[in-house]
Amino acid sequence: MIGIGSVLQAFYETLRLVGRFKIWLPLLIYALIKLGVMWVYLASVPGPATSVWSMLLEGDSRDSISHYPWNLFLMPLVLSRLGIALEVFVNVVFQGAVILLLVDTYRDKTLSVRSALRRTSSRYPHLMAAAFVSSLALYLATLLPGYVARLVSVDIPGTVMQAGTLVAGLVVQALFVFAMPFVLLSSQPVLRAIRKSLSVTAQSFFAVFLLVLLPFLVTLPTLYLMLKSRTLVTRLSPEIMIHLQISTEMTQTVATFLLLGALTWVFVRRIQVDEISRR
Amino acid sequence: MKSVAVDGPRSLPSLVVGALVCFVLGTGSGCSNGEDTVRYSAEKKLYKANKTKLEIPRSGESQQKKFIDKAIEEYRGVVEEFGDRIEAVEGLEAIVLEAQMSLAEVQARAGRTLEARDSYQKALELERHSPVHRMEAMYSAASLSEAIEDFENSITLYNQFYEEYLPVDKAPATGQEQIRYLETPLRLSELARRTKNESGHKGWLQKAETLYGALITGSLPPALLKAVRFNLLTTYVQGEKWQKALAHSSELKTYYLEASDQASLRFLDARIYRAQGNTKEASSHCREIYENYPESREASSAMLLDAALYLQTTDIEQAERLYETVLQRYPGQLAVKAEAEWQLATIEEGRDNWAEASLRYKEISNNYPGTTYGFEAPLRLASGNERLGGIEAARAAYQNAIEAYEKVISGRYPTATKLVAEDYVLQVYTRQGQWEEAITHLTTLPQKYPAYKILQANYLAAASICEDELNDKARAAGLLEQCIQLYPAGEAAQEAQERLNRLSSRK
Repeated sequence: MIGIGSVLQAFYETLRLVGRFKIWLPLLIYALIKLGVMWVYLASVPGPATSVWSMLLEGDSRDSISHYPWNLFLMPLVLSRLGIALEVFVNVVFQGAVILLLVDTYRDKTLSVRSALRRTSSRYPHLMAAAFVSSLALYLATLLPGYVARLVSVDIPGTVMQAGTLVAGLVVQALFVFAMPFVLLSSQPVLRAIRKSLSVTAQSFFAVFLLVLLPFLVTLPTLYLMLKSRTLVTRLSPEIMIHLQISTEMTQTVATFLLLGALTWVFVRRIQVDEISRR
Repeated sequence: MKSVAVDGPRSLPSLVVGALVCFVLGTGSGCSNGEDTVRYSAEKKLYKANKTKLEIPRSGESQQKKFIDKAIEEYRGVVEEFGDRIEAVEGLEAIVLEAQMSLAEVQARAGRTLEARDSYQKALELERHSPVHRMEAMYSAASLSEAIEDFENSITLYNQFYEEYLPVDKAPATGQEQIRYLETPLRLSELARRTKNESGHKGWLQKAETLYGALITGSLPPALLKAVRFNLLTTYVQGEKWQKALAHSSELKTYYLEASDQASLRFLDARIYRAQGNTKEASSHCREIYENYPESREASSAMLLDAALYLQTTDIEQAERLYETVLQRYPGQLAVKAEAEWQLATIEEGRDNWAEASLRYKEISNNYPGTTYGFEAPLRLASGNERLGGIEAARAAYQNAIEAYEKVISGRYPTATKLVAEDYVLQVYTRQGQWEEAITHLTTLPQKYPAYKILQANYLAAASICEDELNDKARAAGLLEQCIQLYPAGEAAQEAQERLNRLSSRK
């Protein structure tokens, strides 16, 4: 069982590691990759490549994307949809490397970033599969509030729907959050890792929910600004979307650092210790 | 050689990285081609100009001119930069045309009527595949030409509009775009009347009657049908076909039962009866309006008309009672109050009660400066004082009149109102025989109001003063030559040349 006290201590320990640039490095590389993708988007729309980007949209948006300022309004949506694929196929490597670097820090060992990436790559198929399953579950969870509303034939206000979607997403994230450490640190195959993650979360739901909630709160300001992006664009200019996107990437990087740090600490200090003691 | 099975997991990330690099290079290499970049740049500049335009009503009075000038500059920038590539780049025409039309709209809102008219005409030149924009540009250019009294251009454009968009089979679709487009034949008849083309005036009224009659028998949406029916009524009234007008009005009263429509139809009936000399029927209709439809727009005008009818039948007391009622009942309607005050003043003047009358005229001048009576009142005061032998009082009244008119000229009034004020200033000078002032005033107006080409004829009026009042033919000739030099292409220049030739032949 994981207590709320453990979670809070995990965040405290993570904050103590904020100055360790080596641990940040994989996340920063991934953030640069995402900003690079954004740059490519901005450079290639409009143009012949627009049809590639428009495949990530539907309906009238597909035509609108090649026009100003719609290319900027639609940029967060396009990049977030592409981001799902990046999360599954690319980010797992960098997040896995961060987990290994954190573990080695707790054990006073010195693992290089390159070695961490190499070791993560050796578990790549399982990591990728776990990320795929959790992304799929997350996607289905975001559809859930709308499905429930249609089922009960009730008109739910937009803000309530949005809040419901966020909560559903956080719950799913909590359920799958330990899958990666189980794959990487306990060398579990993907299905067992997922099962164990579900089991751990079920036993300590509120603590694990807090584990994913606190880093999410860091992203709230940029999330709020994104929701108000139309107002900002009207008051300022459509180019504000670029600044918003960069800010979002930065806050996501910080939130991911906090989550992985706390997650790894809890896994190493509590979950693995419990497992060993049970054996 | 290592087995793939062993290297498989380690090679997967490499494959993924490779796929990502290919994606980046693939989309990156498909970076904007020329045409898309041009269109995109135009969209961006148009967006910026539209944003500036939105700031105009939001900005304070002191900032408005700045935003207007900025919006005009930005719209012009879009047209100048991209106007010559409309044919070459797909989608560019709509952007450039929108910029040109918005430019015209901003200029019109800023009171730069001549520039707005020219911008709409330029939009006509740019347009290739946008019939809706073409329609709007043509009609707006015609309407603005009418506003600045460029009657020739206005008639040409309205004519073109009528030919292109108002054949009977096209008129319904045209009316759906904007109902006012259907008024084109009425505008043309009015312009013919103003340019003293009586046959043209009658001809256009006949065409209007034919068009509206044909449209009414077709199947039109209710709003359009109503507009066409009322246009037909206007046609009958303007053509002085009183019986047809009254019959049609009766028919419309059965279709349109709302109070506003009933009041406006009855008011029209009252005016028709008055025109026919049937004061009893006219008065009865007026009474019906202000008693049964007191909240309607026509109620105050109906009461004024009724009062005027009582004056006509010399029932002064009844007329006075009605004018006083207008002042009490409609405190917010300035033009109506001005007329009521004026009539009460003339009633007092008719009773030789100059003290009371002059007080009322002073009040009209102070309280209703931009109205017809507000302009007339100072002159009436001055002529009244002159009549009673008060020369100094008359001179003071004329001076006050000039000040009152100058207030309107420098105030926030439409240009058309300011021009009326300028005309009254001229009247003051001519009444007092101040010919030098009159000549100076006449010759400054064309530069002061360059959009109003009709003012170029002021040089002719100034030359007449020199010739007739000052007996200075040389100076008259000088003014005529100045007119020809400044406005060589204008109609006034032609007449100036003829007069100059006459002056030379008389020497």
